Amino acid sequence: MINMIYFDNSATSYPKPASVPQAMAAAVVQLGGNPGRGGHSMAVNAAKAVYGVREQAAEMFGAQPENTVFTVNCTHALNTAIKGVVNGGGHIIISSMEHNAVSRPIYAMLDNGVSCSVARAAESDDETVSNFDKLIRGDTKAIVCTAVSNVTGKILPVEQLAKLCREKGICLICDAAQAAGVIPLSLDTSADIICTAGHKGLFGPSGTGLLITNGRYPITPLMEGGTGTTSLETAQPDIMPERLESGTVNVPGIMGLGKGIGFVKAKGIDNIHRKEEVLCELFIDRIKNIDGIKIYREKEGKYAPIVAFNVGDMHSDDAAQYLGEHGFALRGGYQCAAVTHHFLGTLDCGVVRFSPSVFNNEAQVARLADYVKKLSLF
Amino acid sequence: MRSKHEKTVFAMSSVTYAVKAQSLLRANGFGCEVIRTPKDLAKGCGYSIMVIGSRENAEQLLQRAGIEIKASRAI
Repeated sequence: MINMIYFDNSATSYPKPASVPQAMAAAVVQLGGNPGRGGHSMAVNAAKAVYGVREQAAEMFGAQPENTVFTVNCTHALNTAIKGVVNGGGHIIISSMEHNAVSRPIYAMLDNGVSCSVARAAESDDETVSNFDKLIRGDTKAIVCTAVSNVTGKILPVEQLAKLCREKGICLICDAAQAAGVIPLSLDTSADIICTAGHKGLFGPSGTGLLITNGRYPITPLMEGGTGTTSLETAQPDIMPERLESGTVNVPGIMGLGKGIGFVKAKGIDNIHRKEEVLCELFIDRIKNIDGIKIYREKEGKYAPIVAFNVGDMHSDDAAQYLGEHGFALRGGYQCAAVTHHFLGTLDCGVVRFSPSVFNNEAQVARLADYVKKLSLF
Repeated sequence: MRSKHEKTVFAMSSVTYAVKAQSLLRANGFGCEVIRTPKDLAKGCGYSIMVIGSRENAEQLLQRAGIEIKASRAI
C-alpha cells in the first residue's frame, strides 16, 4: 500500500476500485486467447468479453459498440482522430486550453498542408463560442476542443460548439481526458468524436483509452496491420472498430476498464462530480485567504473538480516537491499543456494542480490545506 | 416447424459484428454461435454466426440492426 495522500487524479486515478485489478488478473488467467484471431473457444470468449466492455463504453457516450475503439491512451485516440480526419490538409481550430496531445500532433502536420488557429477560452461561454466562430474559414475541417482544461479544470462549452460545428459542417473532436466519468458527455450533443483516457475518471488501468465516433467523418487509420479479418487482402479493412485497432488489444486492461466504467455507473457521474467538487470547494475555502495564494479560477467560469494554484513567487515544482515530502501527491510544473500556460501567463512558474477523486475525504483535504499554509510562510 | 430447426451460417464483416449479431439474435430467441467463417463462404480469416431458427426472420433482424451479411448458406 502506498503511504501517500493522492491528489493527482488528473494525471491518473488512484486508487482503483478493487474490482479493477481483480478483473485484470482474472483476464490473464481466464481469457488467454487472442480476441478475433482464430475460431477456437478461447479466442471467441476473449472477443465476447472485449465486446462486452465495448458495449458498456458505447452506452456511456451514446455510441454504437462498433464505433467505440480501444486505444492505448487518450493521446493515441486524439492523434488517430486529428490526423485521421484532417488527412490531406485543411484548417483546424483549437482552444487556448489544449493539452500537448492536441497541439503537438497538429504542430507536426503544419508543414503538410495543415494550418491551425487558436480560439481564446473566455470567461463567458458565449464569448468562447464566438471566438471559435470568428476563426472558421472555408477550408476549416475540424475544431478540436477539450471538454475540461487539464490545468485549471475550466469547463469549455462543447455542446454549444457541437451545434456550431453541425451548422457549418465541421467535425468536432472533443478531448474528454478530464471530463469522462465526471461530466456527462454524449455523441448526440457533445461532439462527433470523443477521445478519452481509460485510466483517469473511468478508473481503468493505464494503457487504456477510447475513441468514440458517430461515424459521420471517416478516420484514416494511424496504423495498419492485423485485424483478424480479410487476412489475404493487402488493404486495411474499412470495417469499424477493427479498422482503427490493428494489432492485439490490451485484453486485461480492457477488462479492468470495464470494471472501472461499471464503478462510475454504479456511483453515478453526478454523485462523483458533486463529491469531488465539495472537496475542491473546501480546499479553496481553506487556502483562499493565505497571503500570496493565487487560485486560477475566473469568477463566472464553470469548473470540473480541479484546482490550480500557486504560493507566492515559489515555482510550482518546488511547492509540489515540498508537499510531496510531506505525503501529498500533487502535480506542479506545466501539466503537458504549453498552450494553456501561455494563455494563463504562467510560463515562468507553472501551477500546482490539486485533483481529488471520489476516494478522498475532507480530513485529507484539510491536512493538505494546513501544509499549504506552512509552505506560504517560507 | 421447419424454420424452428433451420440452421444457417451468416458470414459477418468482423468478430465485433459477429458478437453483436449473436447478442441480438439470442435476445430474440434464436440459437446462435460465433464460428470461424467456413472456407466456401469467404477467403481469408473471418467470423460467422451459426443460427438456429428461421433464416428469413434472422436476416430481417440483422438488416434492421444495420448488420451486414457478407454471405450465407444453409447447413
